[in-house]
Amino acid sequence: MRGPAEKTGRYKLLVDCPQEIPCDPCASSCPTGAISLEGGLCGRPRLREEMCSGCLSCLEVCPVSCIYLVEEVEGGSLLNLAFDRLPRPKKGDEVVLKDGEGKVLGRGRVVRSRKSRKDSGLCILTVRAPTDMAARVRAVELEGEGASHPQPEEAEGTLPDEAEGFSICRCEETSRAALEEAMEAGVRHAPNLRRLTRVGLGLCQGRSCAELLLKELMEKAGCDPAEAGIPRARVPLRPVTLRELSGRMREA
Amino acid sequence: MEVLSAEVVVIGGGVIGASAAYYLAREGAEVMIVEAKDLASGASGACDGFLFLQSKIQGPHMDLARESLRLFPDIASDIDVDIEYDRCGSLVLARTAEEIKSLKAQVKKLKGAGLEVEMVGPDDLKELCPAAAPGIKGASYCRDDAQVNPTKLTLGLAKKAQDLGATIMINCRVENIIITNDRVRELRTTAGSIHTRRVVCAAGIGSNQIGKMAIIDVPVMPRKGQILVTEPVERILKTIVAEASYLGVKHGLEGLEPQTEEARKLGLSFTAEQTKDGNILLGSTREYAGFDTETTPEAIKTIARNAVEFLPRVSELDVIRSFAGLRPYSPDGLPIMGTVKGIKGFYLATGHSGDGISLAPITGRLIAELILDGETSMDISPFSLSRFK
Repeated sequence: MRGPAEKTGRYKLLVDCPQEIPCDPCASSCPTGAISLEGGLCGRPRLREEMCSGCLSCLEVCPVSCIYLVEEVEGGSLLNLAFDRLPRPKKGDEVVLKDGEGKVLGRGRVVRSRKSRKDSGLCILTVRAPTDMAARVRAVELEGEGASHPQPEEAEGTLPDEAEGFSICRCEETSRAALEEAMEAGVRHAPNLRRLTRVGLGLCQGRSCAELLLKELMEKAGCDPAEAGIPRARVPLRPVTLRELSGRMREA
Repeated sequence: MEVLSAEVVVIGGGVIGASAAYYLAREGAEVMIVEAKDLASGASGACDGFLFLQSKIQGPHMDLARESLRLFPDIASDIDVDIEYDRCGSLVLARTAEEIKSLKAQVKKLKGAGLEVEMVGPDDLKELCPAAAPGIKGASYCRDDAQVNPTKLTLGLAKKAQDLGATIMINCRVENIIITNDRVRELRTTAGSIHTRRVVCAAGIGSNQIGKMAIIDVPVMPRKGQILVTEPVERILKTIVAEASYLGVKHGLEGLEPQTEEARKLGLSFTAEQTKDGNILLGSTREYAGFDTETTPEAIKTIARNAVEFLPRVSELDVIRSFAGLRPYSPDGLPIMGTVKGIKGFYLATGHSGDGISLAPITGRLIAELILDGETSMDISPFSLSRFK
């Protein structure tokens, strides 16, 4: 193992974080404080590359596996990413590299594969990839794995059925399985699903999961969108302390 | 459309309707809940979970609440949903000497009525509520009081009723009640006709409208209560907490009026409760704003100000949400329960004002007794509709 001091300054953090939502596990898990959220809790993560030790903690905790860490090495790049399916690629496996839209970019080879230290079922992969494409890779697949997967066009807007642990609500970590259980018990209205499973009751008040919830309700329970009663966010739209709300200035 | 029938139809899938259906189904009655939206979609799903005996007025109201509180442990063990029932005790906090004096007088009356309630000084208060501000002079403490998760209580009662044979119709709005020869015969709903000879109106704030279908005036109007929700935190509150003016706002007790103009205007008295998940619910207002369920900046600010004053430790907690619920308020704040003169088979179980959760078990049981036995184990005449005539 190389020491952190030797490794710093060689990493590029790529984050596919399209929504500005209150989500900070990457920043709070970083042992060197290299990741900060630009503009507060809802901001997007930024890496101070000189401080990154390459520990990959952020990959392990990102609830949506959207963090990629690229390390420049001699003769190419090493791409680190979280892999969330079975079977897990092994060291030495050749993998297909795909971009964010599912288009094949090329091929790479797994140089390291380990199960996440968190109890997430994720696998943390390090893949050697050509430097010109490493930064564009958003998914890797084992050879032949794609055959059983829907093509990008069909895949649009659907969720993988096998992903039971898939979090519908990132703030409260409400799994799809918990939601399905409640719907099977006959709960059809979003407000009650919220109170029972806590979906949408977290910091973002459902701004990031309301659409997923509605989709689940329509598809799994056959609900009419108008009857589903998806609640809207209420004041305060972003967390505000009681002291601030009470109109008192924070003491210096 | 197919024609449905049931021995008893309960209009309203809130906590009162669910409780009535539960006690009826337990006695083997063929019962159906008809709910315009969804279970717990009205006041029962937008309130706090206080089971707050010491906030009741001695007399029939208190007797009802006390009997109801006794039923909660049975319900908790009988139904399959965890209703988060916790006998945590309650505190009513007093800030001024005048409040202490009025509170003492109230405690004396409550004790006289047989309630286990006592005044506690600053030292005991530190133990019971470490988060309370140092300026609080004392409090009344009732160890029997408790808290519960209102939504889970409602859903749990309804689910158990269903397991016992009850039918639950959601998204089913009652459009008319057919009464011939002074007897209920049929309900016309958006899901078709339901033949029945007995109807329980447990429609909460919709009761006035249901009453009109039976050509009676049920004087229930919506009263809005706004509540703030904090981020979940480790346990800060051991008991449910209210400020002394709660009793003033609720019952007009002398010397316990809200202390600021804003609070008076909003009918606001401070309450706090920490849920099982750790979120703290901070309340609450009493406003007449029709059927509007918006939360307002004035109320949020005033509640936050109260929270900071009474519980300084919560000052740096983030508020993550606010909500408002409409309580079915009756002119004297007491429930409207029982039969209606001139209409056989029409029963009222509504108007519980701010006490629906705590009075739900006893209301359900008494309604079941009234329907199945023709008499009740407690005198419910103080709650009859005819008191308003």
